[in-house]
Amino acid sequence: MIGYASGILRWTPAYKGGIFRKIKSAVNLLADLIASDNAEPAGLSVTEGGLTREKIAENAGRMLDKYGDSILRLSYSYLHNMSDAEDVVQETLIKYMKNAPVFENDAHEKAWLMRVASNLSKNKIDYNNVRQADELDERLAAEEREDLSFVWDAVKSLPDNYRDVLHLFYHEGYSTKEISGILKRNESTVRSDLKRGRDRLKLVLKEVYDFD
Amino acid sequence: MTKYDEIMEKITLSSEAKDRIIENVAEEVSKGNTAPAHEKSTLRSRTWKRYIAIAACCLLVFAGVRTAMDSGMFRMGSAGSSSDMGPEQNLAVQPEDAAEETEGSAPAESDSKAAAEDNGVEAVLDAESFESAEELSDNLGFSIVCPDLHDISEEDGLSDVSYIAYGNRMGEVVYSGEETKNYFRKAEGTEDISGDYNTYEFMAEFDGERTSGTLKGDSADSYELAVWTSIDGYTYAAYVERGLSTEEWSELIDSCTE
Repeated sequence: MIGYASGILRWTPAYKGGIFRKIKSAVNLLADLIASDNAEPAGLSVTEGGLTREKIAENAGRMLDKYGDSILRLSYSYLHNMSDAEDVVQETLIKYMKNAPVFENDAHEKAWLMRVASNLSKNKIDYNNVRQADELDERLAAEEREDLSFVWDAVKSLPDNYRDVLHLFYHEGYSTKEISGILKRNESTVRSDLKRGRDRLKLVLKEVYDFD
Repeated sequence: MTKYDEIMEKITLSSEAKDRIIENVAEEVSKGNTAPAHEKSTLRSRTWKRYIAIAACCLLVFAGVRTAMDSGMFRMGSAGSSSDMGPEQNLAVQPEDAAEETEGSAPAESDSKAAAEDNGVEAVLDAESFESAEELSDNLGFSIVCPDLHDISEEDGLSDVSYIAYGNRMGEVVYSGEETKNYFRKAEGTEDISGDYNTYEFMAEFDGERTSGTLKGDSADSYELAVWTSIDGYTYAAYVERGLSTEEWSELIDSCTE
């Protein structure tokens, strides 16, 4: 197969759409709206007088084991600083516990967390703050991984709207449609940002470029 | 694993960070969870009131729409009904007698302004027919050819070919048979120009060097519709009624995209 579409690099497996899925999504959206004021977090038992602190801690621990690293990495891709990224993990978890949204499945739950983390990270970006250490930079230098330092510097130099799309697409494995849902951007915008981000990286990284 | 993945693998929550976060989250969340029991029941009854309020609103909306429909407010064919619709929606408007065949069938007749007017719908874009793909391309100012679709349609016995321009914005090549129809559309921009609002059970996305888009179909192995954009600023749609595999679509998209 030759030609442009032979460069089709990524097929998202066929997924079931259809009217019932749409109805189910609409019902879930409605349930999200209803549950947003509900003081009973999903999946947690409510004891007389409120949740126990131990129960909250137990569930927070479970969420961190499941999603902590993913949230941290997305935040780090925005903020380039471990302390700020950990703050975003904490705030994301607090929002999750307080809002208690209802999810169809784990994928839905994770997408919600990524969306919140993305918004919190963007709010935290301080373009004037040049003092913050990039621990990853330091670690890669200490490990003498110049190849990785080179890639990381190239990624860091991208605009935020290219970087988050690239991170969600290549590291988290989301489709452009899913990314548009997480970042609340038009899908065609996501595709353009992905393409432009890749093109820029190709230019800088040359032989080292391996995002395909 | 790419180098980027390798870099990201180095970013992990330390156990100290986890403990600190858990402690802070428990502290913060437990502040809001110390409401006495009677306040909890107040919250619960408030929630039930919301359920009831939402149900009542839905009932009202349903009753309103039903009344409007019975009074003929949404009757097809009124002059103003299509004036606010974009060209894509107008092209997809179904004739009344074909409304029940929408699910899984080819999009509505979009051959000409005369046909649209016969169905009682006022077309927004002027449709003009041409004798060949070359004439159509000359009129539009961009090439509109799809060799693979042409070959497929010939194999399927769809011998009647129409070349149509909608204003100077979109071109369409339609391959028709007695009961079957394939088509190819191209326009400048990034909009979905398929005019196909059918509900398909399966979808697959693709993302390549120059093109990206979506296939839609009623089975995981065979897709009827493809919509895609190319990096040179064009948007495309193609429909093959018998359905094609992803490999066949890949080749077709190759042949149709500049």
